[in-house]
Amino acid sequence: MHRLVPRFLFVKLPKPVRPAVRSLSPNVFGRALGGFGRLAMVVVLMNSMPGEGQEAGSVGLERAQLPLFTESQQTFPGALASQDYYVLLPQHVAFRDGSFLQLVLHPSPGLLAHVCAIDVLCNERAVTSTNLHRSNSVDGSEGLRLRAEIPGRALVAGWNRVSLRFTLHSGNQGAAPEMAMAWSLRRSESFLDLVFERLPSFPELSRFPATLTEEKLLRPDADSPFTDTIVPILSILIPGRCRETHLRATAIVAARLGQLGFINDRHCHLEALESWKNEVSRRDIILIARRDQLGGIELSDQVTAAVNSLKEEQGLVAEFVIGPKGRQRRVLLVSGADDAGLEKAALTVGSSTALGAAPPNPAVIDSLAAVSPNLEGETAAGRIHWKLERELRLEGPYLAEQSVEAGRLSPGFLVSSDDRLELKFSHSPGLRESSSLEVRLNGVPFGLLPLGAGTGLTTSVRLPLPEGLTGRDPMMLTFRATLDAGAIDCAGRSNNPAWLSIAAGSALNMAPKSVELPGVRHWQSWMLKDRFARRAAYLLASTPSVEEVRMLFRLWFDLGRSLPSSPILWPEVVVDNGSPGAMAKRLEGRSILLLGPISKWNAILPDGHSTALRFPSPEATKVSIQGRWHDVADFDPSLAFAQIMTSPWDENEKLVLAGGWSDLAIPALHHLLLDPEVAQRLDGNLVAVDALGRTADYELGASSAESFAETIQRQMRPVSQVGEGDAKLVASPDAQQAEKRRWSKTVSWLCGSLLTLLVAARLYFMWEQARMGRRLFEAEKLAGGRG
Amino acid sequence: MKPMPSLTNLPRAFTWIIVLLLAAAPDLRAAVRVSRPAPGLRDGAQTLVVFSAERPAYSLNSELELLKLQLQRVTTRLETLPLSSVTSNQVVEADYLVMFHPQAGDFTAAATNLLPAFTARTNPSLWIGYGTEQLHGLPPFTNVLEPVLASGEAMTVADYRGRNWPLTGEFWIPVRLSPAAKVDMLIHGSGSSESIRRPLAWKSGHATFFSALPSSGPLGFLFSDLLLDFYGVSNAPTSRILLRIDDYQAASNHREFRRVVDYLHSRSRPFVLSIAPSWQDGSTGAVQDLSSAPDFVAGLRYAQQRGGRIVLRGLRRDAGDRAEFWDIEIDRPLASDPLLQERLNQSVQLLLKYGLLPLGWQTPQYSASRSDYATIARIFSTGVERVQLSDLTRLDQGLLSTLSADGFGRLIVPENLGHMPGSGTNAVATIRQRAELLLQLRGTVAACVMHAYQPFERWVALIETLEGLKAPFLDLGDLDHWVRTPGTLLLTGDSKRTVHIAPGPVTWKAFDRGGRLMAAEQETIGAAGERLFQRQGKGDYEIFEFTEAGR
Repeated sequence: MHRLVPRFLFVKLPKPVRPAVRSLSPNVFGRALGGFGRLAMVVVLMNSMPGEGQEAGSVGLERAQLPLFTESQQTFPGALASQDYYVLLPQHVAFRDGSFLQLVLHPSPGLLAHVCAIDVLCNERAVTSTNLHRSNSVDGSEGLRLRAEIPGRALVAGWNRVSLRFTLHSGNQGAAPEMAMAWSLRRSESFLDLVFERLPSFPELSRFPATLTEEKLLRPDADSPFTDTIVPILSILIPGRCRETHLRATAIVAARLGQLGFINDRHCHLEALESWKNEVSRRDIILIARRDQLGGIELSDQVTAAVNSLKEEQGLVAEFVIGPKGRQRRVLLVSGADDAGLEKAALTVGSSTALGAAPPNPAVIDSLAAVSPNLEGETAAGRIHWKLERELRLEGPYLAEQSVEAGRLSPGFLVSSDDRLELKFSHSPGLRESSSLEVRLNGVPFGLLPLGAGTGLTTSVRLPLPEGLTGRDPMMLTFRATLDAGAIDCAGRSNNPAWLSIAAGSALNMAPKSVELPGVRHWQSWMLKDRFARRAAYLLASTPSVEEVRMLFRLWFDLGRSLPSSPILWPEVVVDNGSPGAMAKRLEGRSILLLGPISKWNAILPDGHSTALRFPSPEATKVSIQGRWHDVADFDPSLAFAQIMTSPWDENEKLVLAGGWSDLAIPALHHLLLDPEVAQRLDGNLVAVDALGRTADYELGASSAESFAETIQRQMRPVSQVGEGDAKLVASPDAQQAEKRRWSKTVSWLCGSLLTLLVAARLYFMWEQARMGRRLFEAEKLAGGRG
Repeated sequence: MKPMPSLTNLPRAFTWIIVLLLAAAPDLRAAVRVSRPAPGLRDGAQTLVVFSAERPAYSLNSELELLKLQLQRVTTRLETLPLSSVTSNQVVEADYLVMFHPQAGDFTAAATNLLPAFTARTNPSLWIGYGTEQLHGLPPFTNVLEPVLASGEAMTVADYRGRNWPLTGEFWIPVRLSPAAKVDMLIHGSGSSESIRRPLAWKSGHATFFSALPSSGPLGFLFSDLLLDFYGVSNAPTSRILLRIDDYQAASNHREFRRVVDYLHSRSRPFVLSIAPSWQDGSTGAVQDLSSAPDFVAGLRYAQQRGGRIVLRGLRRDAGDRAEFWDIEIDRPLASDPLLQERLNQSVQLLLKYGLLPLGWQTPQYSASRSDYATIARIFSTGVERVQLSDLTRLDQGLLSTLSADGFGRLIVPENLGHMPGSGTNAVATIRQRAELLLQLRGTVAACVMHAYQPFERWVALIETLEGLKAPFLDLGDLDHWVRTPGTLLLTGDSKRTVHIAPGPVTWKAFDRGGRLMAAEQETIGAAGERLFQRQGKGDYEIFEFTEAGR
């Protein structure tokens, strides 16, 4: 069944590019001007709010103001017939009467003249409406204020849709609002004021990770956008010295948290186990530790008993609530009797299906979680067939837009040239020729279909999908219709004369191809070829510090964010422990991100494989880049390097090596791996990034005028060495190319001139020699010689 | 020289002794095990019910059947004889005698010879209903009962065990006790004029008298409590609360359901989950079963692991959840299904196939004919329901206060608090009020129903209310059950069953309450014959699979 997906709140989607509103016919526009005149004023619909104060003051009731969108202001075209906002509400509270919705709409000048009425709906239930027809006293300069009481039963845990339905008319001339006319809403003015009551906290393993984070939904403004201070809501505690299984458990937990969408990695605070007391007094906790590492941790009696009962190779996933009422903290324990047990627990946490099938809390895990054949079938590469299961109706006039989830395509795959949308649609008979339907996939337009008199009432079309479009989870199919039914009056309108219906059965047929792009910037695409992230491996040169795990946590969180609907996320983490056989076994069949200082890169690779960089030791003063030795002092010490190459453990997979001179160079590595703007600049297969986000990229195997070292030195001289006079050295690549060309031309001219001069001189001298010979011959002949 | 133990060590030594004694003591849980209590006289004692009529004149209510259900709260061997067939010897020799006379006037002619026998008894006797005036002048009741010409009266309050109990207008049968009579007054009733207290129940010598009909409802609950004294029960189990979840279906919100289950599990609250193994799709009319609903099965297994005990609520649920075995419109049983037993077998096997262990049965809408009950009782030893008392009308149902047994030998787990409605602010208060009344009585089971679709907050409200009653929850898995289908026998508790088996392998499997297989063994039987299957004591449930003789 398809599901409408929020487009404005919490889910990070590319902003749709709104096409220009089609120009209106002079006739229609003229009628609008001469119609009812301009309605101008603020309509205040203050639905009585019985008991608002009482409710808020009642025992156990709390209030939260939830914005409808994340931006400070949002604008949408005035011609849009309907605009939806989505609010995600948590499950751990009960919604009570007394909630209200406030919307302040700021219309462009003249827009109100086109509006008959505005209806506000909450989950398809009409909560208020305002009639602007023939209201001459309406002034839109201070905004149109709508306020509606929302009964508790009208709200649901999960996504709630707040819809604005505009009944537009065109006055006597039947004109749509002008293209430039728009509504705007401000985040501070438009919100859902929620009255709720807390329900008891209890262990709910099957709802992980929402249980540990959903409180954030009630505190959307806790993070100030101005001070950039993020208040962590969750602590992840790990041992100070993590083993491979701890790291894998952390990776899995981070990826699962990343799926949520309404928190970011900074809402999660990673600390050492020793901080237990401090952290548990502040926020909810995820504990990742073996049984022998839990000393000093305050567990519930039931969990303590379960921990003590663990046998060899048994894992434990347990949740408990501690603290007095009102200050309760939820704790999730991922543990095991040993490393094998901990891994079983981690894999269970990484799979919502395994968690659902786990024994009751505290759950002792005896076996490794597995992927069911059904799920395996879903994720297998091959054709993707998605079908719209119920009719989608777009109501005008004039603009109407609806989006649906259209299956899932892992970001490791691309739309191919054969992929099609089989679209069946019909529309109201009276549409004018200016009407049209635009179809987009993930915000990219790929079809514009004319509607109106020239087309049939029921139409089937096949639209090729935009080739090369990267997959996304979920894929979003957007239908945006311009529905011009001509002159429409407010009064007595019983049937909407402008509608378009996307028929059930419209289908998306795709045979996606996997991403085979070579550049470092595509490193994550290689790791996302499996929907369950099983082909993503993180190879660490040495056991990381807590600080380094924090950085890794962000990477893993980001991995989960790319696969929000995956029921399973099982990335692999391997630490080089000098056992190549075991390491190779875990790395086979996976694309790998190797993180470690470049001094260790070649040591980790199997014999016969090497990188373009050779740095014998962190203390060395020379580094070999592309076979030539350079002074390390010539480079910025904050540099992080990355090279992408075919994985030595599996020729079908890729290996990305990343790290600094002697450590991970975290600030630079953060830019390299997590900053999308920086990633856009990394086209080569060998790149360097510094702590400021400056980049140098190089394509190994392609002819180039300069070496990678020169590129780095030219583009990224150490900050301390860059003076005002060196501005040219860090000039843009285009300027540098122009400079090169100029010098090349000069040298060419000089060389050419010199060569010409030499040839001319040579010719002259030869001519002179011949002339002198002839002269001597003549003289000798005159002197009586025999000639 | 060995030092003497110092006196300061003695308390520690006592502590250790107490710990050791506790460890060596028999399982305390077994001591308070929930079951029907045994009578005071002896195990296997007989209760003889002598009745003059099954029901009052012009009534469809089968009062006799209800009385039998009530009497079966104690494990005696129940025999029922009409007044015309009983002999004086039978009356005298019965371990427990119950004289039941729901109709005035029928008694006089036949009872002449029985009254002396009644008065001559030394074992406990119980006189219910009309006719007590016949004992006037007979020792030892010479100065106890007097003839009365007063008319009956509807009772609104009963005074029992020092507390007032609201009644619902139950009818008091007029009786007059001599002011000088030395009787133990057990229940006083009051009608509209509360100042006049009517004798509802009293004890005189070996005989207990109950001057009303113990119909379904509050008076029936008091009567049921009175029976513990009549039978001299000394080990009545603690009163308990039973929660049943109804209406969990394939189309339900499985996430929400799991959340409710998690909540109940976190509070250590076991519950009964009644389900239909197949159902009719409301839109297509197609019949589906568990095989086509993996999410539903997963939800059931999830619940079973967390304290949910599964009972079959019918075989096929239709879209309107109508009574499966009864035509409600004409209030008559549906034509008997010759394949009912086969369908029951298939349903049980379907559940077992998916690792779901059904412990009992619930008749949809509590309505079925006697023949259907008989068929069901061949498969299930337990019913979680209100038993329909006769085939005359479905409206005559036995509302019990505690565990009992019906005429087909089934253990009946009552449903007496009703369900929590989806709306209404007083719903929780009403349930609490009823439960408080029931839990004041001895050995009762206060059972309520909640529909799976109710919002989570209402679950919280209900559970917090029930927890406030300070009574333990009943785990259906603690009771003795057997479920018998051809070739398969499921046993719990101390239940046992004799089966005629054919030569072949016999497989034994033990499961914990969550349905997890704990042990399995197989043996081969060489010769056909009777075989008594009983629990071997591993796990909580045991399943025997064998080849049925004659199949």
